[in-house]
Amino acid sequence: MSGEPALRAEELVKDYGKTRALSGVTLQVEPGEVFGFIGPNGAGKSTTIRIMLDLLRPTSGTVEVLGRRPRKGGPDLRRRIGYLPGELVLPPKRKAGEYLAHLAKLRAGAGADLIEPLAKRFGLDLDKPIKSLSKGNKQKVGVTQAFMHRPELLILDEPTSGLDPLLQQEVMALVHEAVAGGSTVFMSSHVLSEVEEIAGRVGILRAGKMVDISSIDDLRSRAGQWVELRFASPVSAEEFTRLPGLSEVEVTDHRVTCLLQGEPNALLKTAARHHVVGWSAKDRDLEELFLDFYRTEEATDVR
Amino acid sequence: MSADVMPVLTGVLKEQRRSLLVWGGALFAVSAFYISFYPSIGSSPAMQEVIDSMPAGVAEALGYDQITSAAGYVGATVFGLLAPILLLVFGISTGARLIAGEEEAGSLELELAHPIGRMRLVGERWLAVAIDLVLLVIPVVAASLLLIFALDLDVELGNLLAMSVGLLLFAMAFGSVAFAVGAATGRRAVALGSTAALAVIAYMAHAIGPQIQGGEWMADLSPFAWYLGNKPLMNGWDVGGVGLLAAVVVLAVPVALATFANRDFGT
Repeated sequence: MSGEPALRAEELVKDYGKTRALSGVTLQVEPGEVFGFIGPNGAGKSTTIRIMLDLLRPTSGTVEVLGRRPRKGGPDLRRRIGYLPGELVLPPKRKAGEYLAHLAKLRAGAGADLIEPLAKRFGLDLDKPIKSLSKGNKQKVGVTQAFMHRPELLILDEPTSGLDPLLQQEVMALVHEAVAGGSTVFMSSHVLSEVEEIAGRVGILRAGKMVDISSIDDLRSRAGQWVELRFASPVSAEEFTRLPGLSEVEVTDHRVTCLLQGEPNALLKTAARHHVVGWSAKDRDLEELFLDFYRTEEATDVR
Repeated sequence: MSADVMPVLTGVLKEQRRSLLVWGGALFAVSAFYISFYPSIGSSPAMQEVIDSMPAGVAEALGYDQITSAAGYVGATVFGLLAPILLLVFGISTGARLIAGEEEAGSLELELAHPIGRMRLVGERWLAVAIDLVLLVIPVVAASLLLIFALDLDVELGNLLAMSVGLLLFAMAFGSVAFAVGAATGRRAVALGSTAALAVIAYMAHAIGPQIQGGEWMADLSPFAWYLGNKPLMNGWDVGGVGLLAAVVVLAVPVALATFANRDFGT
């Protein structure tokens, strides 16, 4: 099994009647990786994920999960997966603990031993009927059932939605532990910041298509920095707008602000010709870059 | 049938505990209540006069033509009207809910993402509908037995068995059709609506068909007639009728299995 990707999708297409939900999604996730699957609501994240679980069947293209086709792999394959649905609905009448025990039975008892410890860790009352639980507490039930059997592969659809920051941290800690234990994690989100800290790579999905797959480090360098330089005497705008890697250059009298993507060398050499009295450089929010993807894509669509 | 052998089935039954208890209690009470009135109503000469004043067709359609005998009375009231209607309501609504209803609500998604095959999930959930109906026929039979002995009614126990098996298969036939439509479409309203419409048409065909000139064939197509036509409580087993009801179940289950296994879930 070594060397085999944990997840692989190739040219995945899914139509619902006449609507195309996915139009050729290709991605690969290696064992032990944390992969962030980012896209706005309606981009097709849940559709992709639900194909991996064999809840939906692809119109065309191939998917392999832990080296097996979801449909052929069947129950044996799903035994090795922990899944947290994006729209978690639990049977309202049952007690949280009773339902978790029921789900463990569907796994021939696997994970039953971790129900209590996880509930304790999250502060989840197992004796309460599910209908009386808050959205956050329901999400705790969902998180518990996804992690309790220590699966090889975790497929988490918006795992932290509806959770307060403290619980978000706790879920991320669980993800860390799972990865340390050798699991692979595929998690979706509509905001990059949610997976920024934890994911090694992210794939960005827009309108059923992958628009980018890169490492967080790479994204950071592409996101660039906001640079501000202050000079002793006024400088001309022209000097700076010509420089490579610079955009959104604004020159007001003694001051230059710009977005730097790539090496700062040319900018520093040009600035050094003048008397620099102050400077600052701030990493750009990755979320801004993420929004760039949509803006540029929309622009190409119009053309 | 331990929890580990059929976890889906036991999960459903656990969830239904309370509702089954309420339904079972109601069926027992209503059945006992009606039968206990036989000595004062059914067997009184006044009742015979009422029946005689009814048009012959109507009295026959309602099964009232033999109502003055104990078997006729119990067969027409409890087994001919109350229990089948109540079990029909329960069977159709439960059949429509156990796949389509829970699929639409979203609560079936997690179960299906677990190591349970689709066929197995459908099979165990259909079995839940079947077991529910067995559990609800029992209080009807128990109330009947109790009052047959308490009031010393002239009902043959063999015939009671035939009638009860017919009642069970009758409810299972409609419950299984609702279940299969739900499994095939994933739409609770479609399962509920189409099966309820079928039940109404079947009832009309059974009640009105024979009164229309040349319309007798209609009753032959109705599950109501398959179940009640031969008056099993008076005349014993109607092998043909029971066979037709069983055939509906036997046809509906594979349809549910095959269609559910081959479609998108929860779209």
